[in-house]
Amino acid sequence: MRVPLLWRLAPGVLFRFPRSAAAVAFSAGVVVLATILGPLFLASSERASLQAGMELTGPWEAGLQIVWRAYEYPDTPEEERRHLELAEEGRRLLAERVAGVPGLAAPTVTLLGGDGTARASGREAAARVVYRTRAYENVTVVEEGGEGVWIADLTARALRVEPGDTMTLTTPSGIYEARVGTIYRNLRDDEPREFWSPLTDWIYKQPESDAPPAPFVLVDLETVMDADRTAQIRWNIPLAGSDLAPEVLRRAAREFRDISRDVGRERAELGAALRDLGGFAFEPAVSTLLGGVLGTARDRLEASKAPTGVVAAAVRLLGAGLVVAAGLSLAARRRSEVRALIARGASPASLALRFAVEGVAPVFLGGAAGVALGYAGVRLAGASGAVEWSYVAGLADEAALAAVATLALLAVATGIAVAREERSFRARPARGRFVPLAAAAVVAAGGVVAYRALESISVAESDEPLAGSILLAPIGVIAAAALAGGVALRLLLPFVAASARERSTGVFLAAKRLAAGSGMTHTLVIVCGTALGVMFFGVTVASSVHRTATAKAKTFVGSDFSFGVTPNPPPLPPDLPFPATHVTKIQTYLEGSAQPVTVLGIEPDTFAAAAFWDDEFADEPLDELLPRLREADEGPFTALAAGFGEGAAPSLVGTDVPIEVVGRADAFPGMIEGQPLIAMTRESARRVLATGGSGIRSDLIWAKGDPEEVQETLLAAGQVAFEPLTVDEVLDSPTIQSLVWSLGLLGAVGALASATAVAGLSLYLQARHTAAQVAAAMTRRMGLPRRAELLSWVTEIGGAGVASFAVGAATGLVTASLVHDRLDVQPDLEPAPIFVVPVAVAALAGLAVAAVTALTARRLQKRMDRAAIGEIMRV
Amino acid sequence: MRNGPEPLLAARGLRKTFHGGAEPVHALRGVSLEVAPEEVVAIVGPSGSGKTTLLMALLGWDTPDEGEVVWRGRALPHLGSLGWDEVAVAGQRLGLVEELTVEENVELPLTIAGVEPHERAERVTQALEALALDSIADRVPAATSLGEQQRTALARGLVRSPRLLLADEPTSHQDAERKRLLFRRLDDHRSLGGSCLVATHDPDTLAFCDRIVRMESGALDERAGTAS
Repeated sequence: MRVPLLWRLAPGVLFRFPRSAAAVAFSAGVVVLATILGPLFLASSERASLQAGMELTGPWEAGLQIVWRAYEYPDTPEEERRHLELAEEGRRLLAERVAGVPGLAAPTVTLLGGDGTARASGREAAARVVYRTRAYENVTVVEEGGEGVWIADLTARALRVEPGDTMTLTTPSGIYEARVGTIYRNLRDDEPREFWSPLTDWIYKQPESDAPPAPFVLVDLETVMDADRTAQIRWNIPLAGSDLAPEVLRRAAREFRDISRDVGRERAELGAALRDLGGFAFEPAVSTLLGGVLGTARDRLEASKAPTGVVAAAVRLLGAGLVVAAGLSLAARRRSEVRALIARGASPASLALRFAVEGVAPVFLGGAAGVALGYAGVRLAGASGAVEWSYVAGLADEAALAAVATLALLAVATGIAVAREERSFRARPARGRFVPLAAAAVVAAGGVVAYRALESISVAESDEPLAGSILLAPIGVIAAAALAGGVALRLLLPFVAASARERSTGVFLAAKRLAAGSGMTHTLVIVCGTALGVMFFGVTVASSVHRTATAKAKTFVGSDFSFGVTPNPPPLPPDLPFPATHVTKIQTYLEGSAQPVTVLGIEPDTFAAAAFWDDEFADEPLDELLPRLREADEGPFTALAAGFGEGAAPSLVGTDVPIEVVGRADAFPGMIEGQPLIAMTRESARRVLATGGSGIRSDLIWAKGDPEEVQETLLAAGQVAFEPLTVDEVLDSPTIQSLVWSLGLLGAVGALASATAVAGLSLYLQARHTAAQVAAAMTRRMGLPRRAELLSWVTEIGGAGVASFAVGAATGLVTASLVHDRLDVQPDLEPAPIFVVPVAVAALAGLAVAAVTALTARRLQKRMDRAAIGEIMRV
Repeated sequence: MRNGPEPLLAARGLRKTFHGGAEPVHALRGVSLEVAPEEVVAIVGPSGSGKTTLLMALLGWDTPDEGEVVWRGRALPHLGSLGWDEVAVAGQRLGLVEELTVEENVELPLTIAGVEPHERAERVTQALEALALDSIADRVPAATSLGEQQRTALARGLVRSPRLLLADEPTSHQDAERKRLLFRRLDDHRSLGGSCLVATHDPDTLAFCDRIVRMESGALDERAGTAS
């Protein structure tokens, strides 16, 4: 069958209309981008969460560890031999089991001896006998000396021995004479190696211990039983690295689960083999942190799914709107051709199909650009930059489906345009106003439903994933409010026009054009208003939630970060390059009740600079409250009371020294969820315990700046500061992160939609004015001055822009104010939710609207200056 | 050329050539024309003879390559700089402001000129009544017929009683009765001292005009007209 020429040419025709082709490609790109954005972001988010978890745990601790707990130790040479066989054969069996499993490295076996001592030359040092696969490869050799055990340089110095000397090891199972072979750098003093991380507790000093653990005496497998028969067998299967793909980690976790199950079951091959080798009572203890890492990532993913879905749906809706607009514009641009083809008997359906065929190449090009943009966007702005291209390629089916849907929508949009053209061509009566009114009624009803949903929004006291309604309901309310705003504007404009008639012809003409303009202008104003409203809502609530969460985290921590220090630390040096202060915290109870209370001992001189303070915390400034705290060896404690009712006189359990409240606050740095706080000087806090008070005391340094730098400086200054608690750690909650991200992305989508809608409004008004150039030329002939003409366009475009801005800002901010305090993730922690008005965003949006207005008006006037009116008049 | 009192408008040697196509199109070949006060002059000629181009060149919407326009004894590049009370237009493309009502469109030249509201209202009412537009005064152009739109454009052209009205096919969409209304209005205009230069094919219009000039391939072939 011969295909008609028009159809044969169709696939390439659209490229002869570059603007239309670009519009179709752009809209397809947005639809495809929206389709892959959600899965890509979720993959990125999961990957980032897994990376963070893996960085925290490391490949060894996230790996599998099996500890063979023997109730009886080998007593005879035969039992010793079997014990060694169990250790090595177990490692071999596990190695066979994990061979070929991606992401898993070769297992190791460790025989960890008990606390012991080493003696030589009348000197004694703590020592622990250890055998570990590849141990010798994972230490720094200080001095080599042939055969013999490997001892730490610390031990060698303590015993004053060198390679070749002899020493005596006393272990829980007896005494063993050993030749010193090699001296290595004590692991505690050496650069930390992941290899040793499963034995961290036996290498580094623990907070609860008075002394550091005994250095290892590294021995080989044959020697270990002679030196310490009580050595505990530990097998480790590490992960191959910290930066493994999610599916590799999930596969590893499944393998670990299977191994754990089999080790515990007598009938499983692995379990039976180990029992057979062990031959005596045992209880294997299996552990891995990988499940926790994956679980945290899963929680975070679940928390993000619903809002991500809503945001993706919003972008898809935007894309669909763009496709429809591109289709309508395409048909309008080729109106003459459409009319000619209709006159030759073409049906709207066949023309729509031809437009769809024309759109195939631009849609797929745009779709490919959307995929590339999505990938680049997630790499640049996603939670993790490491989403594999293979994962993106896996979304090809969905992207292709979105492209096909775009073509279908393009066909529908062009079909509608062609049908309308056919109707006007054949002078069929147009339909009435039923459809817009019905649409308005549906949107208004939707607005009511959305508002009801808005009222039920809450994330407090819930670990559930975020519901989509958190984003969906506000969008509904904003859309309905924007619609109402658009209608109000339409009702208001005739009055504006009437009042401007005698004052300014330019404003009068602009108001008339806006008031009597086609439905498209008002639709665009409503769309712009909705988009701006969504932007304002997203940005406002995201900023408010983040600011509130940060303020709560800082209140909880007390400052940017808090270090634990040993009791009664020396005073802080006066010349520290960062604000820091010592505090003493006592967790105790109020007298006569079970109400826990925090007693905070502070140093008034340094507290104000180092502690986090928000002026909302108290009616009086901190600078006025602190000087009221006095130190006294006797008499009442002078204190500031935070979180108590007005007039309350707190007294502490155990001590009969009264508290004189010299100032009150609603919140105070260091406050814990649900607990009031009493702040006094550190000396007074010590007196609380000295005068019979009880409670758990901790000494802390609060500081601002870079935690690592501060910690180094403090260590250099003789302050023993443990790992800090930072505000970021407190903020690292899936709910907070998910809320801030989702709302921030919603704001970004709103900004994108706003930019598109404002550009659309500007282009539409430009097109309308181009079509009305004769009227404009006539108006000029009538004597309308150029300034009044420019004012008229500025007023019209700016009026539409300002109306959109006002509707958007008002609906977005009002909706945000209704919602933000419902999104308080930690309602029991002070301060109360903070509402942040995004002034900078508002100013930027306002400037953008002003710039678009000025540029469009200027462009219109230039276009009018260049217009060949004579030619137009002759047509 | 005709002899008589000083002409209101005199166009001398207007030439305009369009170079857009394969061959240059000589739209005006040295056209000279005069319009006297209180005179209605018709330009007739086949389509493409240059009638509309002549009007556009006079208004400055097409720039002549050569020639001179003299307005009341004063040489000007074109008439485009003159106010609506001097030279008004009712073109074939009407150029009505589609968002304004018929009444507002007619009133627009007065609004722009800053005429007092009561005087404006009076003159607009008269203009609307004279052309039977009062019943559709509050409609926007799109809600009226083509003939009504054409009369609206004419009413707008005459509302400030210009010395000269340039009209392009002003009766092309009018029935006989409306044409009579229109001629009566033009007659009033003439009697008040106004002139009119009309490009037309319509025999009724020709019959109404004081003088007829014929255009053929961009050149003028003037002959005596007949008074209505």
